[in-house]
Order: sequence, then structure tokens, then C-alpha cells
Amino acid sequence: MEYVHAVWSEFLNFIGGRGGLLHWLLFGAAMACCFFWGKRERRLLFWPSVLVLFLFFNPLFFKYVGTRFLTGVYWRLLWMLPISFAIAYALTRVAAGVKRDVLRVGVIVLACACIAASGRAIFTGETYREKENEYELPDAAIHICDYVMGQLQSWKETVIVPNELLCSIRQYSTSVCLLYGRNAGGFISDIGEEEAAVYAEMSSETPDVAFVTRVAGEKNCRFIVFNTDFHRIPEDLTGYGYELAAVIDDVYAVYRRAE
Amino acid sequence: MKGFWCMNLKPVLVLSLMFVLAPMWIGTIWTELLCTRGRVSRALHAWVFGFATMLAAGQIVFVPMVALGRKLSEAQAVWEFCMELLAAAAFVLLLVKRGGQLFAGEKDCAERGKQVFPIIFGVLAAVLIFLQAYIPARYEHSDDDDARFIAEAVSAVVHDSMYQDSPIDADFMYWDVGEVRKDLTSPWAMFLAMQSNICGLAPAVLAHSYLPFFLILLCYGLYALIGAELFGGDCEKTALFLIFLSVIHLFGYTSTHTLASMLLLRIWQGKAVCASFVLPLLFYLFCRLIKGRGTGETALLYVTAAGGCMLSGIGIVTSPIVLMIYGIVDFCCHRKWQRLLAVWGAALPCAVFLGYYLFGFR
Repeated sequence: MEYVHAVWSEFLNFIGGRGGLLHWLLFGAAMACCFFWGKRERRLLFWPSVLVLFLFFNPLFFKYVGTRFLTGVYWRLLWMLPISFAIAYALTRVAAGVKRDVLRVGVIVLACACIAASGRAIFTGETYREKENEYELPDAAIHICDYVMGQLQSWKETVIVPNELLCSIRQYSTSVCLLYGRNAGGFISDIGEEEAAVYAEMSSETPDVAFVTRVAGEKNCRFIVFNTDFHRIPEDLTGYGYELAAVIDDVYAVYRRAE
Repeated sequence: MKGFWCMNLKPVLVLSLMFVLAPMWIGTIWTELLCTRGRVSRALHAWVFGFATMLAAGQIVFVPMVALGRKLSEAQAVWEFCMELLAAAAFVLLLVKRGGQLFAGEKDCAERGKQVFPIIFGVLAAVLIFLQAYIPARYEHSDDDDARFIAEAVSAVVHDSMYQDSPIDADFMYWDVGEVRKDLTSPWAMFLAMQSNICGLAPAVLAHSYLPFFLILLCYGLYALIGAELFGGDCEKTALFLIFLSVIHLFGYTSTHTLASMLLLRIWQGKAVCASFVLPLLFYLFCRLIKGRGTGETALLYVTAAGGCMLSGIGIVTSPIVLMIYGIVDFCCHRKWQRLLAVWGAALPCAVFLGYYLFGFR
């Protein structure tokens, strides 16, 4: 029963709410049509989909394959289903079956409206925004990297940056390294205890500057970047061994270890 | 003016060569072997099959070279040599099979129809597809997974190495550290780094600003082939199929996991290419195979499965499952053990790479 629940939550994770359920109803309807339309449709679309669903919802398969090779990403198996192809095929057959041109155009428009109304638009302000640069990375990440690269003492420098820049820095520069990066969220590799503690502090509005600077010093981290819009820290950190070196884009205060 | 239209001309030309003309040229090997008819159909088949071949060659070259700790430039040289051999083979095949009729006229499905609706639907489908390719290239979508893939590619380009340093702190890294272990058998990031080297663009620029345009068009090229196969080459229905498919994708953001999300939000990542290109290509080959066609399609199953392994660990897992299912359905239709074994055999490359992932070492 435990595996059944786990599989079901993976399924819900994949379809994502009501909109997803409606598209799945369309897929179910398309499958039903394929079953009754003929042998060819059954062979191409119906039976392979049934077998994929059988495997996906099979608790034994989940137990022996899912938990072993697909932990956390079991839902990806649903990519094997020809969902959009089956829906598009069924709608095309229905629309093409209408002989009168005006009526056919009406059916097509109606079908498209149904899909649009039951789904969720992908190109919105939530998913896409104006580019800041050709790298499609935050300008601040690039400016911080450029600044640090101008201050290199060896082939690389380790920095601590605010959380919103963790995933961008290394996409721009290989010389600017991170004390912790996406591993703070449980990805890529394990994170050390002290690094995790620094991440926790940097996630707070009022980080323990004494702790952050102490660990940074121990880990040979010459630069610490704070987001002054978010972090409430004293401006002068010379008492902790770091001095304000630059302010990037009026928001990011770059502190450098006092030599 | 920002965005796609102010892209430098040189990278656009180089990328068109790398992601359109080169695959098309290499893919002519397959179109000649499969005796594909019609100019548009042949071009689309060559593009799709050629790209799958490039991926498969990448997988065969990169995995051993990563395991041996070789440089990116060395792997690139070997891959380029393989591509040159394939291009030469395509040229020879064209000369031998077609002789002086290389550019002889052939009627396409688009030329046959004189009705209005196929043209209207075709134009509408083309506009929708172009829109879907243009927006991801013109605007910005960020995805946290790039912190691994793009960082690995940047490091590979700068240090001329492959998976030698951690994508976070740049410390020397053994290949089996955390998630990076998966990348040994699915070195898509190195493929990206290589393309970045060839066209002279930073990996982040290539992946975010240029690749989506080419890859989304490639995927829709494949979907057009699927539509044509399902509707027996009927242009009007194929165009209509593409319109519906486009609308489904444009409104398919019901979660970040759907095919639409993979295709239109992060197509530059290996797993998205797997979901949007490799699995549909296996489906297309299955559609052709079940009709009774044989050797060429089966060979392409092997190539596609190997190419799928390069993209992501999920390619290594899903390709064999899909092949197993298609094999069973095909067997139920044709009752031939040879066909079943041939289809299942295409999962062998995946089994090899899975075995290497589980038990291999550098």
C-alpha cells in the first residue's frame, strides 16, 4: 500500500492539479477513440499506452526499478506516453471527419479553445522575462564574477554569494568558485556541515556575520557578497577581517578579506 | 534591439551548419537506405535521423574518453573525424545510388495539393511552430539544473577537460561524486561544450540563446513526420495535427514536468531532449516498424537508443522500457521472434551503459 501511495503521488506530481487532470481526461477520451477506431490505432497508440500505464502504476515495478534507479524522478516514466500525439491525432481525425468547411473550421477553433481553457499557458511573465544579457543570467552575477576575476590571486577564488545567485555564478565563470552552491538544496553533491550552516545564515535576513566571516576565513574564501536589499548587516566588517570592496548594481555589497 | 534578431551572424551560420545542414547531410545515409521519397520528407527524415546519429556517435566517443580522463579537445577531434567519415559515406552513397540525378525534381506532398485548406493549415502550423522556437530564444527562462550542466560545460571549455572538477567549488572531483556520477554515461554537457568550442560561443549563451531555436524546430520536424506517418502522408491532416500539437504544448504548462514544459522551457538540457526528441523518435520508428518495414528502422532503433543514453540517465532507463513495450506489441502483430529479438536488441546499448554506470570505474 505504501508503494501505491508513492506511485499515486508521483502521478499527481506529474500532472499538476486540475488543469493537468483535464488534459488527462482528453488523453483518456483520445485513448477510448483509438480503441474503437480500429486495429491500427490500437496497435500504435492504445496498447503501448496501456502497457506504459500498467508498468508505471505497478507497485512491484516501482519497488524494484523506481526506488532503485528513479528516486524522486519516477514521474519521468510518463514521458513514454504519447499523450499530446494521441490527443492531437484524435482531434485531427474528428475535425477532418467534418465535411463542411465552415463547420470544420468551427470544430477546430472549438477544440483549440477547449485545450486552451483546460490547460495553462506556457509563455507568460511567470516563465519568461526580458533578457538581461545574452547569457540569460542575472547581470549582477556577471558583474560580480567580472569584479572577482579582476582580483584573482590564483587561478580561482572562492566566494559566498546570496542564495538567488547560487545557480548563476558558475555558469559564467570557472574562476569564481562557490563555498556552497546548488548542493545546499540537496543536489549535485553533499554539503559539509559548516557550509550548510553558512547557507542557513545567508538565508536569514540577519545573518550571524561573525560566524559567516569566521568560516569564510577558515575556508580561504576571500570574497563574501551580501544582498543589501535583503540582508541586514553592519556596513563595516573590518572588525571581522573583511572590508567593503565594491557595491555591484547598487544592491550587492562585495566584502574582501583584509590583507 | 535585444534578443534573437541581434544575434551575431557568424554563430548563427555556424549553428545552422552544425544543427541543420550537417545532420541533414549525414542523415542522407538513412534516407537513401530507407528509400525515402519526396524532397521535404527526405529533408526532414535526414535532419532527424542525422541528429540522432550525431548523438549516438557522441555517446560512443565521449563515454570511453571521459572514463579515460582524456581532454575535451581530443574527444572533439575523434567525434569530428567520425562525422567526417559519415559525411563522406553519405556523399559516396548519394553518388552511387543517384549518380547524375542528385537534384532531379520530385513532387512533394505540398506540391500535389492545389486546395486552399492544406495551405492555410500549413501556414498556421508553421507560424505556431516558429513562435514556439522564437520565444525561448528571444526571452529568458532560468532553470536551476543549469547550475550543474552549464557549469560542467564551462569548466570543460575553459580547462579543456571532461568532468575533472566539481561544478560548485572547482575542486578536483572523482567521477562518481553525487549526481555527477550520472554524467559519465550521459555526457550531454560535454557534447554541449564541444558545440560551444566549435561555434565559439560561451556554453551559457549557446544553451540559452541559440540552441532552443534549432532544437525546437528539429523536434517539430520529427512531429511532422509522426503526423505524416499517422495520416498516411495527408498534408492537410498533418498540418492540422501540428496545429493541435502546438496548441496542446502552448497550453500544456500544467506542471513543470510535462512534455510541453520540457520542450518549451528547457530544451537545452539533455533530459528535455530525451523527452521531446528521442522518445518521440522511438515512437515514430515503431510506427514505421509495425507496418512491416524492417532492417533500416531496426538499425535506427539501435542508433536512437544509443543517442538517448547520451542525453540523460532517464534516456538509459526509458529507452529499454519503450523498446520492450514496442517489441511486445510488434510481436503480437507479426508473430515473429526475429523481429522481437531485433527490437529488444536495440536496448543493448542502454544495458551496456547502465551496467557501466552501476559497476564501472574510471
